[in-house]
Amino acid sequence: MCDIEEATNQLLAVNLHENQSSVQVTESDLRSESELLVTIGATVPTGFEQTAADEVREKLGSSCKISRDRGKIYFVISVESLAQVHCLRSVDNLFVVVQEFQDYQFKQIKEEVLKDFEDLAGKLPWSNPLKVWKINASFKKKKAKRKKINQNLSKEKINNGQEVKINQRNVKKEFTSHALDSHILDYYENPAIKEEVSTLVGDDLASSKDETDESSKEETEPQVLKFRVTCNRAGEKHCFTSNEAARDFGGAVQDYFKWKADMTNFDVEVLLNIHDNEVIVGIALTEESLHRRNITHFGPTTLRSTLAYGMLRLCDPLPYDIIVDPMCGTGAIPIEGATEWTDCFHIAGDNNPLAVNRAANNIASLLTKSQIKEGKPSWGLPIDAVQWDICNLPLRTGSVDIIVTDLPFGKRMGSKKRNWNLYPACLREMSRVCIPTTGRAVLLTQDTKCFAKALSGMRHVWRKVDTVWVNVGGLRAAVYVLIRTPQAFVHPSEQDGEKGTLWYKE
Amino acid sequence: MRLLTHNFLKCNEENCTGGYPLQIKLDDTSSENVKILEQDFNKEFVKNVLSKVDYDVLYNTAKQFGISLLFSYTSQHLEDEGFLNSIHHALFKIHIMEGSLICPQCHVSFPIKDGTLIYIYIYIYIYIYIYF
Repeated sequence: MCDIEEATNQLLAVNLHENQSSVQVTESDLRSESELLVTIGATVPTGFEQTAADEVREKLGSSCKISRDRGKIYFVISVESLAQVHCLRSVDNLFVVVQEFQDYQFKQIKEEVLKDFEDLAGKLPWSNPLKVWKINASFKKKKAKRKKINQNLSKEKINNGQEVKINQRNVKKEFTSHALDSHILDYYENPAIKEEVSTLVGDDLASSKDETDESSKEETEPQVLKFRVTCNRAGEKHCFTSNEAARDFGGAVQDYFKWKADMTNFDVEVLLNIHDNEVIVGIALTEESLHRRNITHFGPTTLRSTLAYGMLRLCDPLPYDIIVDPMCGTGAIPIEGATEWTDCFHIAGDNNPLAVNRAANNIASLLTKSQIKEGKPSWGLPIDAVQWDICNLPLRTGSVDIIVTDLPFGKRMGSKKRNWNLYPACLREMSRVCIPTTGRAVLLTQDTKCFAKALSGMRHVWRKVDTVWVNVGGLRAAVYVLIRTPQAFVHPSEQDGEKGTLWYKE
Repeated sequence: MRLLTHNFLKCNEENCTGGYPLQIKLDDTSSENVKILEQDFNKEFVKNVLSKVDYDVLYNTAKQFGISLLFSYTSQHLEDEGFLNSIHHALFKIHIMEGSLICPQCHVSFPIKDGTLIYIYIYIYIYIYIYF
């Protein structure tokens, strides 16, 4: 998070600089730059629009409008808080809105509609959003610089005859620069490599100096921007396709701005979102989705961090709560909790040693990441990893405040058949360890039929208060929010005539 | 694995009563079996978490690591920074890296490898493979 703080300071410095220049250039403009209000749009996981709106209200103080197009929210902020927008934890991608048409009348014939789009490009108020985009790009450059340095580092490692693995990993676009950091820092443990690393660090500084020289050269020369247009169209009554709209709109934008069109290596990404009669034109502020933060070691079913944040927000953690994820997998949910809710204690558990390994590695890489940024010698996070079996948890009865977990759907992990045994056993064990009355559980699953059946047998201990329908990897899944009833846990052997748990009839 | 986590763990064997607290046995063969990691001191958290943990268990366990806490505390002690600091040190900063947890009743032991507790019975492990 610290680079965002540094970026904020940079941003404020930039803002002041722009203030001075704008006052000199346009004296007729009475409103100063710092009061410039912009509308920002954000894509959020479907179903969590309300939680995202709550987060925006809490962190930025602005109210949100949730659009008819599912999965997007819009809010108005002043340009100064642009850096804080990047700190939002429940959004995937951000864009600045150029113009919004609530009820756009599409003509009937395709050619006329496309001509309208071409004319539209010239009529839109581009200046303010482009200013915002420029400010945004200035502190994104810092992140891009680090990526380039890491790539240089990997090349030098190859030259030294080191592992080729690092280069292969670098090629994969999924891994952010942080992945490489953690991998390099694992090397620190080995004393033999420490010497080589010290020479590499020297090269690192040298290459970063080269970078700063290059970038300053770039800024002095006027650059032709490269752009591309992405169109998302949803609705039945349109006579055109998104490709045609993007093509014609892009052509008009190119004529208007004289930018170069480049599909892969672009600076500006113009978004054209069409949903029935609602048309929104925007400029993207994020290149890669923000949802893959924190995690460096992925598993087969790693949950998006934005979804994990949404789920944690639903259970409303109070300070000093004990939060347990008994089927954590790669630990996405506890790690998100440990970074955002630092005044709670998180325990992550799984029955698979590979998963626990990945979770422990993710925690370790998160620690090293914060170590580099904040320069503190080995600080801990309020999170622990254990390998256990959820059907028989080694926890005291009534000791846990909140349980948040992603149940195996039965598609990629486990099987639907096993779920019929697993879900009731899970719910029973979770009801044992949760504190009666105040305990909560937030459970994500796609196998809703099995879960509903399992829950119906547990009505005396769990009460369902909310269901949120979400889209996880194309599957329609539900997040169930349950509250533990005041009834204390009774061991099954003491209960008479319990249905469904007996394997045989007596 | 921290002492805070240890405070919540108990033996989950079917008929084992009194399997709490689990005894900690450190691995003497490894070089670094206990690590002390710094952590932000959150006063409110320590105050509130004290009501959730079993204090006697914490007192005895801390003694094993050479930390002497007060035998019992009153609400006055909750305001004392020094006392809260010592609790914070015991709960959060001590990390058991190599060792094992042993149930005092049934004497089953679970290893702690590289800071992670492995609380799995071996026979259940085999059961999962046969099921597939």
